[in-house]
Amino acid sequence: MGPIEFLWLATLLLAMFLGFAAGRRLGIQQGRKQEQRTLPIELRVAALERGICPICGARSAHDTIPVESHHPDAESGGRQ
Amino acid sequence: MSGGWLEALHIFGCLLLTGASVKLMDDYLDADFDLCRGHRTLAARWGRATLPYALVLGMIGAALDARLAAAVLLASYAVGMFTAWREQLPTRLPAWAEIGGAIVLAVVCAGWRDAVWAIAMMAVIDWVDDLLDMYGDGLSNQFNLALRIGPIETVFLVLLALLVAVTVSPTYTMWAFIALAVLSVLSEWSTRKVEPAVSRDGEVYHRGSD
Repeated sequence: MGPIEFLWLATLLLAMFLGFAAGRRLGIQQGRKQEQRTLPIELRVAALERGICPICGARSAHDTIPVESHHPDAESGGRQ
Repeated sequence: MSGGWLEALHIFGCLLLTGASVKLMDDYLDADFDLCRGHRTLAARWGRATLPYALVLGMIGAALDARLAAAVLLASYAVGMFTAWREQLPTRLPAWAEIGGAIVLAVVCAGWRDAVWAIAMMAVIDWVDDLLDMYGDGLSNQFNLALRIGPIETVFLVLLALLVAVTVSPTYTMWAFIALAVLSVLSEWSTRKVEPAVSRDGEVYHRGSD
């Protein structure tokens, strides 16, 4: 293998390494920010659908109708 | 023809014996971590006797090819210390200073070509080992490059180091992989499995007797 071929291959591998490393870390950061925005809404949806807080398990004081047709494993909460 | 085979035997023998010496010393230093994972290596069973045996193997390897043995030994040390480059060592020097010293010594003792090959090849072996031991090292809290920077990134670094090793010396690289295979088989065969102190779920439990 000549020096030019070696340099080409080394540069390619280095570029792939840097690109993947940077891309993965940026992707993780983006994913975390997105989750921070959507998690409160998802938790609220889950709590209202099941009538139980997904974090502490407390039953809701509000009159909530569980969506049994969409969630076969949801407990009947809220009403009675 | 016979000269070529004799030289090949010297290279392979040197790599095998120097590699065995380095592996024994490494296993001796990591005996507690290995026991935690349920592996009772030869070095763990031999205890302090491991060091003179490792020295004898290293000396025989050096008798076969002194330059190559020196390069491999010093490169193993340098690459092994990469992970803890900021640590203060018993010589009161920081690890990065000893890494630099080992590299300079390798160049002086073996020439820059053999030194570069040895560093690249030891890096390949060390990082592939980290990739294979990702799960186990995570359990026993040992430093692992793949856990630190990511497995895909480690693969790219392995390929880069392999490119350097193959470019500098394809013959040495070939014999090094064959020696590595032989050493891996011998290591597996000589290691006894014991009940680990930490289960796969991370639960610590105690064993009755050894």
